[in-house]
Amino acid sequence: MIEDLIKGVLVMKIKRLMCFFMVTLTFLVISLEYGCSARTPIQGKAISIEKPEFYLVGMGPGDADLITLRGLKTIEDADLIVCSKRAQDKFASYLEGKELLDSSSYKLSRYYGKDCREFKGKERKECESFTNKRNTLIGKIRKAIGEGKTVAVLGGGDPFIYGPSVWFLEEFADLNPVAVPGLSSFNAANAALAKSVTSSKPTKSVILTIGYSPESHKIIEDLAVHKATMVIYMPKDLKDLMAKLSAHYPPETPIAIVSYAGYKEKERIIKGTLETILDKIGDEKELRLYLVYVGDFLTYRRK
Amino acid sequence: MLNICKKEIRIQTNLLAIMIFFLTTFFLQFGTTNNAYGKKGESVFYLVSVGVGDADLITVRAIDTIKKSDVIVCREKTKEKFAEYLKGKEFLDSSMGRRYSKKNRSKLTDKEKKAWSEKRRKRRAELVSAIRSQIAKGKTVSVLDSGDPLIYGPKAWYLEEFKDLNPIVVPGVSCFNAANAALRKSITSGKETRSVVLTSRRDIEKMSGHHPTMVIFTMGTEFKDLITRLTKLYPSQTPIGIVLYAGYKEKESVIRGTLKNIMNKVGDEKLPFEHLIYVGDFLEQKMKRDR
Repeated sequence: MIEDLIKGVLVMKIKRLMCFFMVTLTFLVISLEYGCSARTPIQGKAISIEKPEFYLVGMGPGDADLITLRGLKTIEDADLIVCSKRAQDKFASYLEGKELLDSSSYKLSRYYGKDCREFKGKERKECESFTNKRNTLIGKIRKAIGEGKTVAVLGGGDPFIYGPSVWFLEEFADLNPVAVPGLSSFNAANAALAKSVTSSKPTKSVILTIGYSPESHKIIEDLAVHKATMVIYMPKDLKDLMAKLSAHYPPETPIAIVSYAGYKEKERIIKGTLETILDKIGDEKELRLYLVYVGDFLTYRRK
Repeated sequence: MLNICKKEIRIQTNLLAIMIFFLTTFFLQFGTTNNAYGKKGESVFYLVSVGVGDADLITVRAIDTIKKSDVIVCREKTKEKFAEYLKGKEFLDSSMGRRYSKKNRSKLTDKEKKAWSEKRRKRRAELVSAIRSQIAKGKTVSVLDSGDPLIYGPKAWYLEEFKDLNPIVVPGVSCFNAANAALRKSITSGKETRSVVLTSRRDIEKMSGHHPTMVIFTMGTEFKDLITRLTKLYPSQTPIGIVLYAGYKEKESVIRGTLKNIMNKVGDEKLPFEHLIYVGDFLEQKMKRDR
């Protein structure tokens, strides 16, 4: 009898334990589902009657959540996605079950439209190798199109600002490609600085330029006169840039460096003046993917 | 079995409720007292870009930010456009009353002008205090703006006004990004220039020195006047692109020409407020040589 009692109690306990797990599991599932619903529902409507089969999508900078709903919908509707390895990781959850082609190297773009015979030695070999790679990629995309598949190329940031994916539009011009706009790292860096880039006393204009541009010294000279806000995309040599700026701008000119714009966790801002900025940077090795801002807007106040 | 389960559900629900209560009070305290120590990327005050054109050019992050906000500050039109995300949120109208174009403003008498700006000032003060009182209640507030709020945006003043709250800006698609996509050309690939100037009516002379690619935020500027001025600065065969209604799938269109013939191409058509003008040979640039 006592044994029965013990058995009974045991069974009860086991049942309770089971209940406990079941209920816990239910809560877990509910909360998980709630958490996952952060994957925003996408809506939108197909507009054109003749569906385009080739897209270039601006992914935006930084974290995956800076893509637009139109961008996501385009990915969702595509059969073949052409993008870099990094983009594959970034949008992994959206790319499940899609055919993928790798377009990682910017050199695919660099030698586009060039005759490799113009180059010598090592560069010529590189040109030939990337031309081959590109032609293989183009062949694969053409084949997919021929099979009636929809293709989306994912370009970083705003693909039309210093982007390496624009050649796709020229190569596949016959398909009437559609471009889906994306934010540039510039837009994300503006947000990081939380300052209106078109608000400063001297001018209300912004110039975007790139570090390795041969005209950059000309621009610096030109702008030193008007003191427009200047944004320099990824200068190679900061010391050299600051030296060039110092020749034309006063040492108290405000400077800001935004690195990893749009990455919630990694975004970093360094502010200073032309005189102090290099000291403030400290260990430069950590500084990656950055934009340099020059101009009074950084300290401008309306009140 | 079922009874025991019911009991278990009750106990766990209670536990969960208590946990949620503690967690929210904990985070609320965090939020109101000192958000500088809050989680990275969290604040109680946001300036959120909802993009341009159609509603689907909003980013995922902007939607998430709207979802976690209690109070939304925006214009009536924006409210309608994003109605599905704003359900159940408190709404504050950000409109500052009647707007005048520069031309119309000059027609006002001094007295009218003064009354108008006084009205705006008062309206703004009311809005600021309404936002402050929501913040004091522990609410999270998001101000919605279109385009990039930091490029000729009319709402950047909120950042200065609420600086003490460590506002966070959620970036979005500018009309400029959308117009780039409409043109389908790398705007940083001119024949001679790899630079782009974003500018407006007042600065085009200053910025045209070395003939960079130019994007003119027209914002109501008279078109003919602008072209006349550009003609003095750039060679007459310089390509021009006008993007109308960038980001609107149905309405978006592009008018192409050169400085010389663009006026004829536009003709008597009245350009809408939503148009950007691009100046530069990037418009005709090709990476591949014609074979």
